[in-house]
Amino acid sequence: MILAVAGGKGGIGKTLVATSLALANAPLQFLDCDVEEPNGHFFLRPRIRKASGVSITVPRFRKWKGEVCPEAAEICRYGALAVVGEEMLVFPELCVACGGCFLLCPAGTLEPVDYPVGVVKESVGRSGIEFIAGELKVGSQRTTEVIRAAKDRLERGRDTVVDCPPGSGRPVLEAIRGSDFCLLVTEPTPFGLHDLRGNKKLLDILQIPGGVVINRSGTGYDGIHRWCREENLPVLAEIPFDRELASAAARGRTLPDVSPDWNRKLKDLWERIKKR
Amino acid sequence: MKVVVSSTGPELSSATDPRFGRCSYFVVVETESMEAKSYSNESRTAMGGAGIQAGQFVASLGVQAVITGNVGPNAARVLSAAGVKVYTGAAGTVQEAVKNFSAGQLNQTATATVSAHAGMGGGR
Amino acid sequence: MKQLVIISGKGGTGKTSLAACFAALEKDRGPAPVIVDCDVDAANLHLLLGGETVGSDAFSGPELAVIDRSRVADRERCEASCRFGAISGLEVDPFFCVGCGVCRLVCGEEAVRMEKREAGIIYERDTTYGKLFSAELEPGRAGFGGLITALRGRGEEEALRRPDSLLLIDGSPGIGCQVIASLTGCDLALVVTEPGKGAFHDFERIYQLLRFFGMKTRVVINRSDLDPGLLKETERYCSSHDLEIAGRVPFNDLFRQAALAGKPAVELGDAKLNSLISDIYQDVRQAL
Repeated sequence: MILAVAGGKGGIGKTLVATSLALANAPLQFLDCDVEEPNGHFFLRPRIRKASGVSITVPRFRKWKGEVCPEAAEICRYGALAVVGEEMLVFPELCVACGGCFLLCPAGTLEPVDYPVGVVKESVGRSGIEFIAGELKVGSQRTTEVIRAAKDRLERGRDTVVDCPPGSGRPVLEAIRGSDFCLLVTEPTPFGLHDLRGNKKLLDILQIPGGVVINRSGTGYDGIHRWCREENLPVLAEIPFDRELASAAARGRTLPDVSPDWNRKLKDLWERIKKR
Repeated sequence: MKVVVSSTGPELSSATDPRFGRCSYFVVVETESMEAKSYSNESRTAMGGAGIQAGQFVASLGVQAVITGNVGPNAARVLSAAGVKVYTGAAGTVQEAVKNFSAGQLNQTATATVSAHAGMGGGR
Repeated sequence: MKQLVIISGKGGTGKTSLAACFAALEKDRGPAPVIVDCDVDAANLHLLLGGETVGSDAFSGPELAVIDRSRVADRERCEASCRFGAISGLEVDPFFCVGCGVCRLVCGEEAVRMEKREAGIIYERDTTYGKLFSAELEPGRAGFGGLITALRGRGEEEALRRPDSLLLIDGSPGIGCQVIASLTGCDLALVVTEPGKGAFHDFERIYQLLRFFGMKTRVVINRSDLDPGLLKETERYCSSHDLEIAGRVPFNDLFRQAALAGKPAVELGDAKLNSLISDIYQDVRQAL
């Protein structure tokens, strides 16, 4: 089973839930797709075995050919190419690597070169968890490429927990795609409900079944429960609002680390989801 | 000398726009005669690379200098390749900025004075 | 026009709660700020600032390809043209298409047209604390950076019309396209972090980005008593990188209560919190 863990915004407890689930059900694969802010390693403490660069193919102007190609600069919707006099300027940080400029320019005017956008780290973490993490290069915008590269490293057919980026945008879609089930982590506030609605729409688009985990629960707000009932979305677990728990999580401790009780609960949660 | 000023409006009396790539208008001014012609900045709402497009446009106007508030690294690269000088720190109206420029009161820069506006492109 | 952006790297550090407090304090100082919620993926500021929507505009994302299959001459070549795997069965999947237009070059101009698609809605709200611009993006849609630029443009226009008003930006999380679009051109970035391992890691990454852009920066450490060791680590990092700490806010339940009450936390009347946040605000205001 591939189980994705997503959540409305950062700091909602998504990584805590994902790593706790992974530990309680280890050994399995853990994929950190939160490539802008990968944090899973703080909880699973992997030893990096292998790091592979992720790059995209961008053009480089070959000045000695003596030809410029204004058509390519015109077709580039990202403004990554400019023609100034006898010179073509390339702005690789804006390039999406669509390859359009290569199609349009006379052969040899532009040459393809690799431009690094991130890295994928592979390692073994606590309890023998196979830990794979994508990390976006600071300043790069090619989030989905790095997520895809990280997903390519997964071994098919094995139990996997996917820690998704926050929110409900394109990168999350990329991370969730192909999962068998998706847990949506939220909190019992109007903020939490607002973000949960967006997450749910993503699951509808992908037609992936989902359930909800309420973090910092037990504070009297019942908006999440009410909405979940209306939407027929099961609330599968609740993590109480607790200062000690928050402090332990900040230090990189998972739920099973805090109480063995959680180990049992999360094993049980995994089985329940699997049976669906 | 023919210069171009990034502006919030099309007139000599319009306030300068501190942004280059995403300013509202480019006002081309002949410094001796103060004769002006303005162009609305089409790259203002570009998805990405506004500074690059604006730089190419400005270079095509045949001006010798750009007067603006700040310029990003991408625009700076285009303007420098086109041999257009960049003067930053413009304030007040277009007319005042040109006068300050003529009086030698603006800084010429070869490099960016603000961060890249590289955040708009791609959208992925 | 001064522009202040509040960012956090890691989400959930209290960035939006602090932004709401700043809006209230800026309003008291006068004139009322113009506020832009660039956290389009989890746009929550309106839940704290209240008010009512006075306008909304659909926002279109980049043009995406639409294929007329009857006009495609070479099916195989056409399908293979897309480097993003967005074409299957000569249908374009709008969630994969990036709008590069390469299929138009390969499949033929008569077979492919580029069409604008609605990507989200920009809302204009009148709140007690000032004009608020926020946006809601269609789930799963691309076009973040572009939306943020458009959103900020609306805020900037409004702020230019109101002399001396501050443009207060609730920045996007992360270090990617969105956050770059939300902080570029700002006068000061206020980074909200907390003493947590993840938060510290993200804080280092966001600092690299700010340094890359040469931005003036102040730091707020929220939930500062969460872990003394990690607090020290954050403080040491700040002092060794010449980062000024504007203040520390200990763990409290007031931000959550404010979210439930739907108002900025400084309006709850807790003297201790108000004085803490007011000090942070004064420090940032002076540095602007």
